[in-house]
Formats: sequence, C-alpha cells, structure tokens
Amino acid sequence: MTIKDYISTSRKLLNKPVNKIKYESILKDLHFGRRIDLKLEVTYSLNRKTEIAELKGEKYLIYDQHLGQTFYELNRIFFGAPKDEIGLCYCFKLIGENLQLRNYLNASLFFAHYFTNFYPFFKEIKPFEKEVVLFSTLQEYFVIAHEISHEIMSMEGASDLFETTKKLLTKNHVDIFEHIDLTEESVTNSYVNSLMETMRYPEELRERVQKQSESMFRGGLKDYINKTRNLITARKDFLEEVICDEIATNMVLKLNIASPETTIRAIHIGLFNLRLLSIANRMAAQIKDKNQTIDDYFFESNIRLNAFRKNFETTFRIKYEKVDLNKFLDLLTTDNERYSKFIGNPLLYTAKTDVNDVSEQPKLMKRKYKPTEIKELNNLINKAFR
Amino acid sequence: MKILIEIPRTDIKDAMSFYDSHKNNVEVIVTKKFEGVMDIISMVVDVTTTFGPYVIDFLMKRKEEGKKSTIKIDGVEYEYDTKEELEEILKSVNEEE
Repeated sequence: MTIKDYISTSRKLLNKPVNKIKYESILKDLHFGRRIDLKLEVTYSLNRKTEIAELKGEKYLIYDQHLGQTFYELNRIFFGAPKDEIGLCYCFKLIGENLQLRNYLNASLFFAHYFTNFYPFFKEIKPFEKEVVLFSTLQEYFVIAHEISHEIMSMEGASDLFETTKKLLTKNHVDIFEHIDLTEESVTNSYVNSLMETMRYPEELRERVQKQSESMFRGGLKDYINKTRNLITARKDFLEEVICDEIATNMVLKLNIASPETTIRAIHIGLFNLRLLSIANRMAAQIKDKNQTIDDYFFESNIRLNAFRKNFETTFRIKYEKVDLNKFLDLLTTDNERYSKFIGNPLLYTAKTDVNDVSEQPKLMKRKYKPTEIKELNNLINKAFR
Repeated sequence: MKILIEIPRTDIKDAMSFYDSHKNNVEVIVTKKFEGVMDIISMVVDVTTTFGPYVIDFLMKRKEEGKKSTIKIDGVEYEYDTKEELEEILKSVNEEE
C-alpha cells in the first residue's frame, strides 16, 4: 500500500489540477538549509486538510490545494464583501460540504439550496485582487511552515519551549485577571451586542436577550480561569500548536515576502480562516458526537490567537525595533471586527441556528441511502456547490 | 476496494494487533491528527472478498465492546449499527467500483 491509498481513502478528492511545482518551491523556501525529510504530496480534496503522515518509516507532507483556494475565497469576502449575506452564503457551503463528507446528504442538499439562493450576491464583491492574492500566498506559506514546525519539534524535542510557553500563557491568561476589570457583566454585554447586531433582532428584544445571556454567563468567569489553567497545564498538544504558530510566523517573516506588518496581518486573518473551517467541520461533527463542543474549541482558539499576538509583538519590538505598535494593533482590531461581522458571526450565530434546526429533523438527518440515491443526491449537491 | 478505519490512539494495541495478523491487507498510518479533542490513528484496509469478513468482525467486535471506530470510503464517513448494514455498505461500494 502507498501514501496515495491513504490520501484516496481519507479524502473526497475533487477532480481539479494541482500545482505541485508551486508547493515544492514553498517547501524549499521554508527549509532554510535545515535537513527536513518530508516528501510532498499535493492533493485537491473537499476535506481541505493539510497534515503530516508517516507510512512505512517515510514522512509525507500532504498539502491540500483546496485549502489555499478556500483562503483565496474567504480573503475575497474579507476585503471586498459589501454585506454579510455573502459570508453567510459561503458558510452555508462549508457546512453543506462537511455534511456531505459525513453522508448527511439530504441535509447537505438543504444547505446547497440556501447557497444557490444567496450566490448572486457574490457579484457584488469589490475587487481587491492584489491584496487577496498576497494574503492567500502568505497564509499558504504559514500553513506549510506550521506543519514543518511540528516536524522540527519532533526531531529536536524542545522541552524548553514548552516551559517558556506555559509561563507566557499563565502570565497573560491566568494571572492577568488579578490586574484587570473584566467582569461577568462586561462579558455578557459584549455578547448581547454582538448577538443583537448579527441576528438583526429588533431593539425591543434586547431585554429578553440580556436576561437569557446573564443566566448563561453566571459564574462563567471563575470557570473560564479554571479552564484556562487546565488547558495550559494539561494539554501538551495545545501548547505545541501555540509553539508551532510562533515558529511558523518567524519562518514566514524571515522570507521577506512582504513587510512584517503585512505578513502578520495576513497570518492573523489566516488564523481566523482556519478557525472558521474548523468550526464548520465541528458543527457537522457535533450532530452525532456531542463531545465536539464549539464553545471549547472557540475558547482554545482565542487563547491561541492571543498568544500569537503577544509573540509577534515581542518579535516586532526586539527584532524589528518597532517601538510604537498602537497604530498597527488598532488595524488588527479593525480586521478582527470586520472578519467577525462579515464572516465569523454569520457562521457562529445564523448558520449555527440553521444547523440546530436541521439536526432536529429526522428526514434531513438520514445517513443511510441506497447506492442510486447516493449518486443522485451527490450529483445535485456537487452541481450547487461547485 | 480500500477503506480507511480511524480509531482513538488509546486503542493503538488493537490497530497493531490487526496489522500484525493481516500485514498484506492492513497498513497503519501515523498522523498528528485530532478529530475534535480525540487523537486518532488511521488504518488503510484492503477489503477483498476473502478479507472482507475479517474487517467486518474487527469493526463489529469493537462496536460490541463500546469502542469508537469510524469508517471512510473515498473520504466519506459512513454510519452503521448492525453487521448487515456494514456488509451492505461494503457491498454497495464494491459494486459501484
């Protein structure tokens, strides 16, 4: 058996050409003279998954070009979408495709129908081709660098890095609560504002939403601190992700493809893109497996993003001697707000409500079909999405 | 026809023992792959006519023991509750090939 057998059984391959030369060149750029024995396999699959796989003592980096294409589409929406229906429409596609991968074909078709209805809005996206291409390229570099970082860590151990990261995270995410005024009330208010805006609830509902949210967040702050402490001390896999983000960021910065600010901005949006894909995947997985909670993932992801921010701030101050970062940090905050409004929140609130509704309808939750039905339904879904 | 079986990494002994008994039809792939919070191990299995019953036994035994396993064919995850349903899935995909 070969790595191709693993790729073809673990992924739903799409019949699209791949550009292996491009990714070989990226991999070569990222080696920096270091010996890393990874064989590259480029694929184009519905799973949009990049990973390192070991078979018969050989290690392979499997890069999914569909991930890069998805970055391109999400960046197009991020830069140019004039309304949030476009982001929502793209989220319907992501959810529908994840349902298709789990053989929830009726449910997938349901989202494909939504997608088709909203698709005409895509024509309204304003062109920012230069920025979109540059950001997508930097994000692809980052994803590949991140995988290489896992490999470097497996070769070099890096126990010091684990300790330093643990200390940094404890300082910024646990000890910090002794010095700031974050209260349950402020957390609840920010959640309510976001929900009111995204769901377009009429103002007269605010009081009800506020009351329900207050009960949801009661005692939450203490839980949050305990959960954070546990994540930092007990989850080595999480620490490794944080460390690999840092190594990968420095690798991409070192290549000078763009200015340090542009590189960081692109990676920052890239991390949002990756989180979005993971949440869409979990929404489909959660239907059957209630352990895969999105809240827990979101919580982890926020800490990971904050660590990324702290790490590059240090790099900017020390390596690039940038003293005043306020203007740049404001720009990242604006990016964060725009991403949430146009892409993140439509998935987390609107699309999530639809997934919940769909998952309560037995007809849509059917997973067992006759072979002819499978073929027909997949044809219809593919026609709508691709 | 080849299928993918994914099981929790904590059950690695089951995977290795299945591999050791059927080296011609089973390959273990090590990935750093988390499905949600679960670290998993993957096996590519060649489901030939003669080997199919062993695969079905392996999966049904795990189900009876309350152990989690996922099967994927061409990247799509299939669900089964009974031996008959599992046989039906493998048969139908084989026919399509």
